Amino acid sequence: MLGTLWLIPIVCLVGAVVNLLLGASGARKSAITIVGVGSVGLAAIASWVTIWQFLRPSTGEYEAIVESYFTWIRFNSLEIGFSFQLDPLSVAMLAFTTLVGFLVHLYSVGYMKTETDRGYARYFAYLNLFMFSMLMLVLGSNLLVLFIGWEGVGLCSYLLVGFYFDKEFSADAGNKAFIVNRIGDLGLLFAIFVILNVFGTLEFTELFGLLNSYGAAQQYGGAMTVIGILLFVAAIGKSAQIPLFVWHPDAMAGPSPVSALIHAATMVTTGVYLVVRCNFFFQLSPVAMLTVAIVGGTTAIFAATIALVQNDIKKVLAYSTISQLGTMFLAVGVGAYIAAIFHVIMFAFIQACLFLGAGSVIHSCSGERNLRKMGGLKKYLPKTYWTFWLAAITVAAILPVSGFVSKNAILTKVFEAGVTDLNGFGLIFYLLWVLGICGAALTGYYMFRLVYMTFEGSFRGSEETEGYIHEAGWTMTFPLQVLAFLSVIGGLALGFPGRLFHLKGTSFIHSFLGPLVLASPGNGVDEGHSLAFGLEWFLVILSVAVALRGIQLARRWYKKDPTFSEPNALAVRFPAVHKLLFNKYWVDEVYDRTLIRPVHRLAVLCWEIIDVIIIDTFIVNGSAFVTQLTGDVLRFLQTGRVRNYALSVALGILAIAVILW
Amino acid sequence: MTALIFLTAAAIAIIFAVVAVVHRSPIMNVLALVGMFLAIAMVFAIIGMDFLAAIQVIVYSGAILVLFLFAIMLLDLRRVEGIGEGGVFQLLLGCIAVIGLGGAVVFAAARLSPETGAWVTGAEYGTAYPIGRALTGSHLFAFEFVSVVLAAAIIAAVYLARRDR
Amino acid sequence: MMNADLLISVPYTWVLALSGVLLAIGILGVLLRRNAITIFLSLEIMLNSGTLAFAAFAMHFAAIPGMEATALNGQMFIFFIIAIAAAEAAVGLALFIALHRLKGSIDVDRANILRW
Repeated sequence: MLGTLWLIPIVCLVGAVVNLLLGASGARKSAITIVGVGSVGLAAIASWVTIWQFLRPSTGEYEAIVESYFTWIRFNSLEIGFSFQLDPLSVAMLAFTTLVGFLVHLYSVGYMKTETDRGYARYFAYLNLFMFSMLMLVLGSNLLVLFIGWEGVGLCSYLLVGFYFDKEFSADAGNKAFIVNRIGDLGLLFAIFVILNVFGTLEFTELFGLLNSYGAAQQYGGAMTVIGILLFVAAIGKSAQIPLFVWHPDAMAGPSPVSALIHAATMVTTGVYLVVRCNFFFQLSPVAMLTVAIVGGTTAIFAATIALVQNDIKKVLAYSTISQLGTMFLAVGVGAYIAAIFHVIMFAFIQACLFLGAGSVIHSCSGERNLRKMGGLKKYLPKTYWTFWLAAITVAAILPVSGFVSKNAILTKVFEAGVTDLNGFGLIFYLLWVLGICGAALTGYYMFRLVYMTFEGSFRGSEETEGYIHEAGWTMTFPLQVLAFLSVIGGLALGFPGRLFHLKGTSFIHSFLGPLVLASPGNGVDEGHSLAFGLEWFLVILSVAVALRGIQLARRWYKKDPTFSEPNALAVRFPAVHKLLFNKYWVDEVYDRTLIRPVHRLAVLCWEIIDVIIIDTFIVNGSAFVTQLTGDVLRFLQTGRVRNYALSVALGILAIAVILW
Repeated sequence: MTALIFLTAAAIAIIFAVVAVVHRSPIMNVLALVGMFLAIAMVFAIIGMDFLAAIQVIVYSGAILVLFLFAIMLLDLRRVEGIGEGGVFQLLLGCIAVIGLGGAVVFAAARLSPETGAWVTGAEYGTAYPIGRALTGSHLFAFEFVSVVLAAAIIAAVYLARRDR
Repeated sequence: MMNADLLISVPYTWVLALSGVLLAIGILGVLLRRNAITIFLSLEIMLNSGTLAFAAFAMHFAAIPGMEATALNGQMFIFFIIAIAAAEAAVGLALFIALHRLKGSIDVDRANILRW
């Protein structure tokens, strides 16, 4: 089995190429479906077989397997190989990426069936290409291979957000996603440069070895912070954190399965993956860690408040995604890398399920996205309803489903960081914990506001639309059911919090991923040890209680009262707050005023002065003018008379004779 | 005595050359040129280059000039323009070039020391024998190459003068 | 073979001077005549001037002991110049016939389509 890791991404690449060719040659949808879904299915099977092989020698120690294929760059002493790596972290990422990827592909068969054959082929080609890039990113054994995947997923995100490129907002959203991500990519590129400069290698295993040695913190202290911050800039761009989150809500212009796969389950979490993968830099730099924690915690609460009042079903989910990503970074920031990855996995199932459910709703409502024109869909879409409900309750982190397990692990770690005064920033961590608890309450509220507005009450759209509403075919409902099942059960199976029940030993995921985290003083890698047993239960009950309170509020305001009189009244009573949240804190407008317009003006200035005047007028037209002028004068030397030419030859010889004299 | 013969031959060559260049009738030009070639053949003979004198008479006066005459007859040229009918500028600069280049050679000749009365050992240096040896020996390649050039020239001439192109 | 030495009573510089005068006349013809045949004749004059220059130096080196091979080389050049002149005459005259057929004249000033 070893030596064949490359097969997993290559299958997807082949699928993408074949689909593009099929689309160009006008193949039918059935052929494209077989190639598009089949290639990802094969990749999923291959990866699960690989994972099975990897897990079998259950001695407790999982050796990282690095497969080198060829030397990519060789320059002096620098040598960067093209190689893949299979270790517990990439196994974890690989497992859910291929599974969710396959389910989303299956779902897309139903969702995209109204497209033209060409569009259908294009869609599946892009989606396969995305899977290829994502697998490269996850499997790459050094930062440069990871960077290929990193750029590849960015490209596919751009292509798929702008899939309906004939609509202007869709094309604009694609551009926005791409351009904002550029900033993050630049961060990653600079991080790579700095790492190359300081360490001379990009291999994760070698970097880990270098930094694991005694005294690494003293030796590389300052560089660690720089690298950490640069890597985090990359993560901010990809994972839509403050201040670069603005592309993510707009990216909802893409098809819903794309949102589910790229903008919820896999690509946006690669930022977390990157930080966890490079945890050795963060572990040695308290400043970088604190930055991550603060940005993550702030984003979590910031996005959650915006989600409270949005009326677009996908926008609510988008802000929910940003908020959850913020929670993950909060976890990373307090050193709970494993909890973060655990949350990434859980969240991939949950959020994919939610987005696919939203897609199902939108699909059945003929493209309607406004929550105020929905309602009462429970009886038309029963399967969508119960899967969506299950996913919502998992996001809200209610006991005992898996969302609770992963989120509670994070909040506990944050509180613990406050208790142990991690890196001397204890107070800040307490504050972030408070924000996290508030976020839990808000999450419960907005998720169930979404559920009630969509599925409960009576239908508020036109009668005509109501007549069409129907449950979609099995290709769309089956992935929903699988994902809902995994959302509820998966977390319990992977990371059962045994400590809460006085069980010995750590959970599976902790022992599995533990060796990947660089141990450093103060940043323990195992589950909360320093908290008293009762305190831990108190934290659990508190977080569940606030989430339940949020749900109850949503139930009272949106289920019992079909006119939404109370929230409307609140909006009227506090117009400023409502406007602020409804307009998303005017972040887009602020960026427009402070960044986009000045840059645009600068660009126009450059165009008008440098391009039009200097380059076009002086350099381009100027050289042409001078050439023409010279030619106009000198052409009179060309008399066409052979005697004149002979004369110049004779005079030339005479000149040479005089010179040589 | 030899010097006198040389000077006579040189004078004839110069006069005929001037006629060949200046006269308005092409026929006269060519005939004057024949005279000049013969005078130069005489010069060759005076300085002991017997073989070249013979070649000069046979090839130049015999073959090339007949070709010229033939061309003139074919083209039916009678009287053409004279000298200097192409603009003052051309005339002026042309004269400068003529005087300059010709003068340069004459000036160089005047500065070199004349070695009158030098004895040449092995006096057959200009006869057919050493030249024939050299042509079939050290200069064999050049000799063969010239034959190729001549063949090519014949083919080119036939091609250029063909009527139905 | 007769091995008697030969007295060359003409200075080689005289031959060189003759060559210079003929060169001047040839250039004059090329620069100032419009008739292609005459220009061609002038070219032949210039070629002859060249052969005379070679002859002059061949004569000079023949009188220097040990330079006999150089003297012979000079004569070889004259031989080859005459051969090339024959080739040139053939091609040149063919060209003039073609030119005459094209323009109805061999006035080189009338072949001026490369003019500005």
